[in-house]
Amino acid sequence: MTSDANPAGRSGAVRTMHLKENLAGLALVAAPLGLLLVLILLPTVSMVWNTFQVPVEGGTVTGIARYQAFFADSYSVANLRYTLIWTLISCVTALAISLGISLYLRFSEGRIATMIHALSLFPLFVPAIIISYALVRFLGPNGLLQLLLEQVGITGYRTPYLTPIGPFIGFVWENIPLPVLVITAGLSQVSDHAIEAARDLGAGAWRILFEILLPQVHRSLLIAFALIFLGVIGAYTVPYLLGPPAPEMMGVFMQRTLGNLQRPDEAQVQAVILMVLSSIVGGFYIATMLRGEVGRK
Amino acid sequence: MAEIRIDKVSKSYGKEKALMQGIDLTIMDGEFVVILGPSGCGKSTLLRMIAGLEAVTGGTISIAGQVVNDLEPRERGCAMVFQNYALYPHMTVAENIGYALRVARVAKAERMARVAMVAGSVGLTEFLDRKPGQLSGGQRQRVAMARAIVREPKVFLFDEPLSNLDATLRVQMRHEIRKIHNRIGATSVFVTHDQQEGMTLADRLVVMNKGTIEQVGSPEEIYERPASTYVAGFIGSPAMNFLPGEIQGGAVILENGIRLPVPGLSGLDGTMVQVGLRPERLSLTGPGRGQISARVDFVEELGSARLAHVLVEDIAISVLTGDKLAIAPGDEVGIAIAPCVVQLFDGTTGKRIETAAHAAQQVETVS
Amino acid sequence: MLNRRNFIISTAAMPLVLGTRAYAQDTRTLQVFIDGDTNISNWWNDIIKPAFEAANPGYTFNVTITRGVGDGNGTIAQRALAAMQSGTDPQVDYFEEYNPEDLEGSIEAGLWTAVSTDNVPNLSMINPAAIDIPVRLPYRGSQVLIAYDSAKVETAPRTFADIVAWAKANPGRFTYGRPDKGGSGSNFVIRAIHEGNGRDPSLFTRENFAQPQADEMLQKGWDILLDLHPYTFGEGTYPAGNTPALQLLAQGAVDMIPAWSDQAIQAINQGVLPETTKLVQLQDLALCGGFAYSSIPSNATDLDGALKLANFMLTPEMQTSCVREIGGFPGIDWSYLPAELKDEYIDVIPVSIPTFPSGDWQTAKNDGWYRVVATNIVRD
Repeated sequence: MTSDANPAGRSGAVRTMHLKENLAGLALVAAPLGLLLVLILLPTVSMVWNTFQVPVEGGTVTGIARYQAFFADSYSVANLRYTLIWTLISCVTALAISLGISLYLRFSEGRIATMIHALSLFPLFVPAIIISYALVRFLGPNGLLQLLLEQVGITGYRTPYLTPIGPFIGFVWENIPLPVLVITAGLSQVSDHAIEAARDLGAGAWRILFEILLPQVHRSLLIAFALIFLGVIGAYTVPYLLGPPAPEMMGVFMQRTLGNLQRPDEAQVQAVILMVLSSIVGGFYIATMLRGEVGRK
Repeated sequence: MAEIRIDKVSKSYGKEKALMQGIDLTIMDGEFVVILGPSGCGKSTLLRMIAGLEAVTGGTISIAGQVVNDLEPRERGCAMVFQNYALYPHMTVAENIGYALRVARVAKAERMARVAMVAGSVGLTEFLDRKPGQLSGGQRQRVAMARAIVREPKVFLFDEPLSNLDATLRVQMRHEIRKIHNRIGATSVFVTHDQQEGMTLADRLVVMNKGTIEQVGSPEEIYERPASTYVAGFIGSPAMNFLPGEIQGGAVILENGIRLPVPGLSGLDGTMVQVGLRPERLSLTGPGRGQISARVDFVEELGSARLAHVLVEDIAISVLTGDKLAIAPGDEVGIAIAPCVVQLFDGTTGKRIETAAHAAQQVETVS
Repeated sequence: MLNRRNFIISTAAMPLVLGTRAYAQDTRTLQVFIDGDTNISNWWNDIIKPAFEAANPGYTFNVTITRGVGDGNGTIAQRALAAMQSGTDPQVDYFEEYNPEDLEGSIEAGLWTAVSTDNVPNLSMINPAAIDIPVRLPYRGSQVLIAYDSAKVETAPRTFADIVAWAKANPGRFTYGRPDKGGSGSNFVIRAIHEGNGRDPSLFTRENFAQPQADEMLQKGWDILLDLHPYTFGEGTYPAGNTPALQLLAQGAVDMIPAWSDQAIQAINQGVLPETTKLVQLQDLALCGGFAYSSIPSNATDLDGALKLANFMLTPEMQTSCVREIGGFPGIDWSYLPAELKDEYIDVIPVSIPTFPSGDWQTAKNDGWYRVVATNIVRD
């Protein structure tokens, strides 16, 4: 009896210990988790629920009329399409530039590389509004760029300010630092030997890039993509200051609907649509992170 | 055919002091050469210069009669096996092995056939669809080997390929590498810091130290006639005993005054020397017998042999013996030193001093 | 909104209160709260304060700047309301600018002192266009003007039609800001709507907004703006607010914009806009403007002093200072101001000060502009 009970008792004790650890862990995350629940999740759920409440005579019914109204309005749809297209274009461009910088940083060292690294992180510390006004000065009509071009005899400069290219340039500028950090970290995981081995096996630079490096950092690229996408799709300041009046990026449209037109119901529908788009990419991001976790284990 | 000739090669980074200077070495076609040395001695750099992964600062390297200094790695016909295997985690074993063929645009059917054949020869057939992450260390090592073999290179270059494996696997893989070499017969250059690996694998050993070649020779030659105290100390386990002394009247007077008779020392009186004695060439005798007397400090049991640490006054000497020893710490013993086992090295330069006894022994072994 | 405001008050306002009270033994110190730009607070501290002290011995005031702190003066108004309800000292005497309508229920609760010629005699001089509800005191105004570079524009536009004609003759050299992003663009759009509706602002009242007539009335404005659209800067890329529009003028990208009087005058004085920049008001019907309203809580610590200050602000001297120092418009009628001042500003003095109702008309105007004008959709 006693000899049988002993191991069971011991494993019981071990279980208790694990339980204690788990409880301690839960206690540590309880506060932030609770805040998240109360301050973000609950209002979100109630807001989403609200968008499905359609006023009818004498009360409300649950339905999708508000969404139908959004998608029936060509102006709103044009704004959504414009937002998606330019978000994707900005993402791909920012990603390509970040990748280029990261590759340079991965294979270079010395003062110039350090300087470029610092420079690539610089936009992180500049608020969007400053970037925007600086870009107006630089790219704007009779701005520095135009003056420089005219100095070397290039005339006919058409400013991207107040066109879709304006916010595009702002987005790319704003979205270099984080992707550079993420991709540089990813690239540092690829050993020098792996690259040397590829050279030894006869692979050229492009082959090494596309067949050795990129497949090994594709997780970082996906994460960087998600970071840029989520930042750009809901952006406000940059498209507001640099972009054309119409079509509007959803962030600007939403702000105007809520702040200026005082139509919170419509703004909520816009917000939910934006949220759905963001969650698709966000889900992608989380899936990638989880896969990485499992892969490490 | 694929002879490697290294001619006055030097290497330096930027304006720093040269890492390597005036390296001369010729590796014959089909030869298995092991470059041996401690980390930082320049052996890996030398290998990487042969592979084309490092630029040569001065001198020339030629492979099969062609100067390759300015050739890309892929144009040199060398296949390199890296210390950490450098496999591609996103490719299957088959893709890893066949990658070089794909780069070389070998048709898929032929590629698959060659991959299958090589994989079979290294025992990887059943792992072809796995990713490197799902393989054991030894299996990964085989993939790295297979990736090199499949290219049918003129030259194999190994950069400490076994150092990440555990001891048993290391011995096993050592044999496999040697077998593969015997079968394929390509010129092989193998870099390691493990002297045992070097001794067992090499047709010829190159011992490097601080960017220079200390000695080149067959494993036996290097063991028996080390060119310097550095080589003597690096080769052999347990390490050689060194006793400083001075030649006087046909004998070496050790620092503590003990006289060690060594034949054939005429004309060398007054030379400061290091006496080198390999532990396995010494034997213990009863007190008062042998060339010198000592006192037992402690004994290490190695299973197949015993390593006795004894003190000659204050100089520690180790003696390796297969005999069962009935001694305890503090016991008086004698050490028997056959004249032919005494190696002498110049006390200041560390260079080997040839004695008549060696010459005699040399004749003996030859006949 | 209100909840958030309450939240901010409870957290941000508390420390602000400390240290703002300073009683001298013989002088009575009024507590004045300002959340306007630096030009306003500097004007109060550097010009008004010494003049007020000289004119009213025994009185002085202490300026507390609430700009950027919580909801600015709104926070302090909340505090005054709370103080009234609990019968404590509100620690405020005078709001340089606060519209009592912005604090819901405060007028009904009697938080604000009604001003009249009885307690503020100088109100007799007030511009009749500025009078509306008694609990707020229109003491300075600003108006949207047409700012232009006289080096590029030969004759100043005097009518709306002049602007359109000039813009068409000089494509890309005129622009106006987006109507929801700042008053300069907004009032220009309103002026176009007025233009399309017989230049009769009285057609638009807060109560008369109703579909579909409203759409028809607005459409008359859109037609005019759509006609102008291809001739504006960047063929219809309107800058996002007052400052971006001024920036285009400053960079020489355009030669004519509607702008707030005070912002434009300040920009000229600071050298941001070239010296050749001139300001003009349309004479057929002025662009809309607005007044800044001071207000005095009825539970002010020193109500008498606060009323004295209000009266002082309406003296011709202070009103002249308002024109000269901050490029503002007088709250009192121009006829009470020195003749030479009037001559100097003759170009910008409006014949009338038209208004446009807030509420539905505003939102219909802003959203309609985005959907029709900015997207360049010509409707049948």
